[in-house]
Amino acid sequence: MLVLARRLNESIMIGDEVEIVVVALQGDQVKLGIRAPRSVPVFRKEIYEEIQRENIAAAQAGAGAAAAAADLLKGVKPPEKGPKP
Amino acid sequence: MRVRTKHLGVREVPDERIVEIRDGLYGFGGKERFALIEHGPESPFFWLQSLDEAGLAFVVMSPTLFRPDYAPAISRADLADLGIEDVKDALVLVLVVIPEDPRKMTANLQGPLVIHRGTRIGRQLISNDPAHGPRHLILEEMAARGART
Repeated sequence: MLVLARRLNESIMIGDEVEIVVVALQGDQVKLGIRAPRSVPVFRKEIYEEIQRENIAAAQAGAGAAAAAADLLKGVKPPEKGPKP
Repeated sequence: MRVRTKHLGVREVPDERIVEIRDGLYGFGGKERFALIEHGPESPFFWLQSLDEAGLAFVVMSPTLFRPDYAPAISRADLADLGIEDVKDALVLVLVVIPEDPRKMTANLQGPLVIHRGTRIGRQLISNDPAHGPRHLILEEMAARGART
């Protein structure tokens, strides 16, 4: 991991298109501003990790589990269709 | 196209059910091409079946079944990147985790799949609404709204 020290209002460039700016320093909290192209997602790491964990759990579903779960939801309003051409 | 699936053998899937999830799902980067396959005639689920890895498939569903007013809080930049003007025009699917006790199945409202209906290109995005978490108990939500189960 590259470790850089920055002061208030100083920046870090990651590649040509991502910039991280120290916007404020308040006690033990650092406020960071991020400039990135709209195709690059930016979010707090703990959220990223949580979504990743849920994805991995979602990939575990077996056919039996899915069938049992679907049975529990049978009879509820019809499902929305998939993408149309 | 012919798709080798995790649970359904080899299936013929029409082109309009093939989607591209840019950058894949978190934790499964690089796997971007998927087929949406209906789980069954009375099931609200779809299999999101990877075209790049036959053993990779997710259960997804439309969140409106248990959260009719669900609209993920997505930034305009994220939507613009997909060419989507209004998230209400997009196909929004949520991933479902089914544990050993299927009554405890949960849906991830924080990390929905948002797909442009025309291009069939989408992404897994993060909703900034603090009310959207990664694990919502589906049956509880439906019961709370008085839905028939």
